[in-house]
Amino acid sequence: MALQRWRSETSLDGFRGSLPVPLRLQELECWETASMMRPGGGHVLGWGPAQKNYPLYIRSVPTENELKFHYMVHTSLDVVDEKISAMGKALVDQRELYLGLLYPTEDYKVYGYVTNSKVKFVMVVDSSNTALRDNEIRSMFRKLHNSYTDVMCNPFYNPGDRIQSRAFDGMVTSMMIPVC
Amino acid sequence: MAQCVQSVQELIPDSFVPCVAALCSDEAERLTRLNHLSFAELLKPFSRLTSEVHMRDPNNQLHVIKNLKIAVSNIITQPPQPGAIRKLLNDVVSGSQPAEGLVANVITAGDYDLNISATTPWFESYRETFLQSMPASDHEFLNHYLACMLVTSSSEAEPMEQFSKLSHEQHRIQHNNDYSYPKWFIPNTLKYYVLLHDVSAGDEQRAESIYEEMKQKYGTQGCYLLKINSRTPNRASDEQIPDPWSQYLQKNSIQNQESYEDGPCTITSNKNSHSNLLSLDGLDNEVKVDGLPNNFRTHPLQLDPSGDSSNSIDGPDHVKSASSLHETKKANAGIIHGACLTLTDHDRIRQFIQEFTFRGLLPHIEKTIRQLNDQLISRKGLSRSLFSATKKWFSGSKVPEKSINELKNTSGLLYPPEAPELQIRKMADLCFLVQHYDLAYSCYHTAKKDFLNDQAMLYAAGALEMAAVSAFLQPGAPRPYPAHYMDTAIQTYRDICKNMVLAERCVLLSAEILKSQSKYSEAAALLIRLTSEDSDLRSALLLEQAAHCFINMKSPMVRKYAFHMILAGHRFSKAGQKKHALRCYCQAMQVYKGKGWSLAEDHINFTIGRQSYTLRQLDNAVSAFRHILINESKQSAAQQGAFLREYLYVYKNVSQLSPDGPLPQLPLPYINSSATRVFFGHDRRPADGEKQAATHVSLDQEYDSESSQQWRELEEHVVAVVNRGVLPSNFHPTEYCLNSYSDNSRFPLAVVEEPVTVEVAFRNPLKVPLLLTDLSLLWKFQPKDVSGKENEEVKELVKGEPEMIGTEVVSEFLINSEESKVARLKLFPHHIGELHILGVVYNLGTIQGSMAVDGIGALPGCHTGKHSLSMSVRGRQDLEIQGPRLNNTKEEKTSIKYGPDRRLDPIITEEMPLLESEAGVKEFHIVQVSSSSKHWKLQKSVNLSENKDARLANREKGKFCFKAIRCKEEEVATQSSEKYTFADIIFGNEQIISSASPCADFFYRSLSSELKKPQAQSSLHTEKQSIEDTMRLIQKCNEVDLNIVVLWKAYVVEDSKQLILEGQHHVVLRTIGKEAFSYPQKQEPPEMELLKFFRPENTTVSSRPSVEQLSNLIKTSLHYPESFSHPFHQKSLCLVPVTLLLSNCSKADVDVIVDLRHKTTSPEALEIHGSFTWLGQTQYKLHLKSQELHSLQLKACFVHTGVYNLGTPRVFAKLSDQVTVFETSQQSSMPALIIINNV
Repeated sequence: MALQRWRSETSLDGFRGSLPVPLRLQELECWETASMMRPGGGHVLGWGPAQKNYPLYIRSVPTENELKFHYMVHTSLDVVDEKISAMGKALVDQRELYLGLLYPTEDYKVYGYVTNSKVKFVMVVDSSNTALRDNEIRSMFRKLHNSYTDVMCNPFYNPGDRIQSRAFDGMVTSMMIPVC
Repeated sequence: MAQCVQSVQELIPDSFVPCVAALCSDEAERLTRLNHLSFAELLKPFSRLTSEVHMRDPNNQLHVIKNLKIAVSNIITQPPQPGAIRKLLNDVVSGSQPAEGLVANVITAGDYDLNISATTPWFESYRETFLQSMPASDHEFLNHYLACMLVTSSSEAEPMEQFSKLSHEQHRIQHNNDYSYPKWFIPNTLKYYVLLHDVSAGDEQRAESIYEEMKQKYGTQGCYLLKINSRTPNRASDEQIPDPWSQYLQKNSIQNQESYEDGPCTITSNKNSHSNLLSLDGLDNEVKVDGLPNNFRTHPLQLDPSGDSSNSIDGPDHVKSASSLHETKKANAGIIHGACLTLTDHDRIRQFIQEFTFRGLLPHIEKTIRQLNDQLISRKGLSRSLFSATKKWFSGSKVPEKSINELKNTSGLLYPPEAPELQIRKMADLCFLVQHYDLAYSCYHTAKKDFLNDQAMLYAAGALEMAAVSAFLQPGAPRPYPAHYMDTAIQTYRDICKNMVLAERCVLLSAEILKSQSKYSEAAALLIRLTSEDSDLRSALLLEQAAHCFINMKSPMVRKYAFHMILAGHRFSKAGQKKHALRCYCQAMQVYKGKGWSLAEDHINFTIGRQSYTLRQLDNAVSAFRHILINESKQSAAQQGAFLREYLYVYKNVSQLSPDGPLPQLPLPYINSSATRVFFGHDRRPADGEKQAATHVSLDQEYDSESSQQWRELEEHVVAVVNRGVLPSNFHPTEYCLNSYSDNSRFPLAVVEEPVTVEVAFRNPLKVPLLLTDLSLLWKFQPKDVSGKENEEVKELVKGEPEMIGTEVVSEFLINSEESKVARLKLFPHHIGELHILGVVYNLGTIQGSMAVDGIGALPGCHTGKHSLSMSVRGRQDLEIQGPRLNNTKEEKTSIKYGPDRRLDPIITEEMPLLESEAGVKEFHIVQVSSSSKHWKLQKSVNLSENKDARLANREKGKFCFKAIRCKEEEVATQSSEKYTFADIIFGNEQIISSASPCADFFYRSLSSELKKPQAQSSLHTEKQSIEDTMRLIQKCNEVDLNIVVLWKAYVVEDSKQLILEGQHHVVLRTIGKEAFSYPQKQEPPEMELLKFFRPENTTVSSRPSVEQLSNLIKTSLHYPESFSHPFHQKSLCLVPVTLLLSNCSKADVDVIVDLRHKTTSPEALEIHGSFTWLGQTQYKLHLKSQELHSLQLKACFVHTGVYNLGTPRVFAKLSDQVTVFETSQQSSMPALIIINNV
């Protein structure tokens, strides 16, 4: 038991090493958080332990106020759940994956997207950024989804683990930078 | 919103009740004071009518009033101070805590099981107090005095005189312009004359006669004789009478402002007041004297380590105020209310209220309503009201409301008190007070329109608010609750009138109504909208209620609940409500726990730790901080440093509280317990002459299963020899070093007076360094009697008497950030018995260097002064090692069972003999190297670094190079083929004749063992004879069969005497290019060959010589100057002569082709600077006879300076008699580098 504990802890070291580093942000006016959640329903993907809705990947730029965004993203999961349950069973199959604006706060807009396997993507965007309209957000989500699919295709990725893929990281970075 | 005790249908009528003033003469006040009560307080518990009341509305319809309650209060001519109200509210909230041991509800939402208390009594007390303490306003009349009780005692000299005095006084207060407060409902207030009579002291006859007089003067309906004080307080203790006042008096201090000024005596007594007092010690005194909560402008989601805790450390003034508070509370607790009142008196008071309401108040209200109604009708005319009624009928109830913005500028409009517009509002309020909601609604509705027309926004908002409430309360619910009325009212109050108190009342009512209709999300939105910076307490309570709304929704929104709980907790903490703050954070924690939201989790844990600490819940604080530290924190190093310091600080406080308690278990650093190694005996220190155990292991080397197996076998041999060839059945090999690979199922043996070294593997998971001081092992020892009999009582000594076991203490052990490091800790057993090593004990601290990043601060006392030096905490960590998983029996296989691991439980035995090794070799001298071969002999040493003395010290490597030549053919010819040629190369002083005894004897002996090995069988197939011959021929050219004999002298230290030992080693060189050793090396496992799925076509291929063998037919070497200087500025071409030596190693004739053309395929060749040119003939064809040497003169041409590889000539060779079969490229020689310099 003790040995296992030790191992699992050391395996986390690798992740910490790959935490996001502050990017070139001096001229950055917009920042955003992309994050993905484990499915909340628990019926579609049967992986892993009973833990649900824990973050698979979370990233924010700039990093100093990260805690606030973590809270924001976490709270928005309730809205995602609400939106999914509001659609009803019959509609779920043919539904649009993009959930649209989850809720606006004073300074930010929170958008949501849910894959068919109930993996949730949440994006928080500065509401003063008018360059990001619904269509842009939608295409960003689609890119995110594609990249996530690639991660899942990796036979060495254990579904449910934190995403540490460099390709995914790079894709998120590239998405977060040009927006500004 | 949380569940409430009162339903909304009860709450609202109780919040708006008819107000009655009380004006008492001094004597009357004295009578009631005997009971420690004012007159108003005396009536309080009986102010609700027990029976239904009837009255007639203006249309002469009978109207039933249920559960009517009136509020009697003493006249106070000052409006309540906002600061006082705030203080009162703060006290009410802090006094109401969740009862301990209360079973919380379990709410299951999705994957979450949350323990949540469904009720929030502190909110209800707050709301009740808030509504009661609303100051009366000019735009509404609900809490204006409707009537006034004038109270005199029968013991006065002139009671009737006193009555008229009081009456005059009341008139003066109401109509004189000196007093703007209190507010009165209508100009001619109902006066009700009450004569108090003290039964035990006064003259009943006189009282009756005065009452008669009163009846004549004021009418029977306008006066009352109230008899009280039927007993004296001294006898009161005999019988216990229920004290109905206790539950009211805590809350009413605002009506009674003197008592507020006396001091904070109205704090509610908690159920468990003692624990409450404990927590008050200097900690809850955040409440400022002016009642203003501290208004930090910090964001709720920031970690604010430097925040409010600075106030929380006991300052002398805090302690003082706390103790005075304590005294006041004590004094308060001793007072018994109503000590002079019997149960009959209680009934009399009840009767009095009933009588007053039936005969005095309600007729007065009824009359007033009628008057107001008549006034309205007469003024506005019947047509108007009819018109408006029909208009309403046809256009629906929707009256177009002008937008708030248009009306903003006229919000300041005020009506004079007797303005006709206010009369309808008065009537509406009266109807509302007597629960006639239908009439109230229509009146409010009309009033609202009037006010909106006049753009009197404050009045309009008030009318909208009450219209909404009365619409909701209408029996039978003829219309839906107009929530938009409320929204408009709230917005108006807040944005236009800037009156947060009124807005708050609106929100409280509306949210409660929405809750009763299960419109939780609307209620939550309403509550959240009213949170603002101006009152932290209000914001906290509203946020908490909003959170409850989210969890009570049909599909509970757990995360929103948690988030708002955190916001509420932050506000509570800012408002000084530490306990509530802690509770909020704890409840939110349930949602965030263990879901991977580590930043949020850390934040909450940190706050919980902080709050717990300030509330002296040190254990909780410690566990919260511990949680932050052990969970692979993703925080920055500075943040982690702050966490660690805070943790240490709190921990230090814990340990100071209970200095004799058991040592706490520390969470840091991590210990990899399975990597623990135990070593018995002295350290191996080779070469210092100390006696050494005959063992191969030390803590410095890795575990080597093979060598340990060898040693085990060796030991078995020794034991077997000692026991005449039989291994005793109880024999176990000695283990000196126990680790995770060794068999740890038995108790190991350790010898008394020999050290036991335990190597503990620490790991620091943090980004800040950890400093362990006074690190030592923790152990338990059960001594055994020298007689061999075990003691009857087993003494347990934890860190006990030093004469039993000596413990080495490491004074400082630093583990850098995220570093893994081992510590070696020693024990010196001085007594035999059973030793159990339990764990390690140390002071955990951090180094002060990390203070540089200290922007965030920590608890006070951490940074400065002597604290910083002693910021470490003594604690322990246990070493628990799990044994291997058992897998022998079926039961073990099917279940998960682990065997014991006893490496930390050695048995200390008596002194035992130790097998010593004589490995005290200081150095080797190589005396001579000799060769012995049939064909070859050593010619000379070509050592580059003239190692003249040829010495090898401890663990040193030496390198010698020799040149060997063939023995002369004639020598070979004269000697028979079995003869060996010996050649000696001397390093020492004298030659040792290696061909003579004893060297040769040793050599031949070793040779014979070599020869035993089976020789390769030669093939007998004649048809392939020729190929076999050439094969052998080709193979031969690689064989050397040179035996090298190394003669050495070893200088050995033994028992402090120096010995010189001599010996020799043999190395057999068989073929060129293969390593040879003096002793057999370990066999590397052969590389796995790929499976081949095709059948080899020709089996005879195997008889062909390999390419490798063929490539050794010709040996080449290049001879050239190592560096060459050339004046390029004079002559651009540099020519260097190079000699290519070719030697035929075989005994057959060989045709050789030398090709000097560069290969063009390699990319380097294309580089101009890296290439050079061979001049002259590009291809040479040569014929080399058996063992012939041939030299070719070549010329290389360079155009630039640089380093070049001359090893480009390719050499092809084939045996001359064979046609084309074995032509192959010769082995590519080593790079031959030449340096071309410019002069």
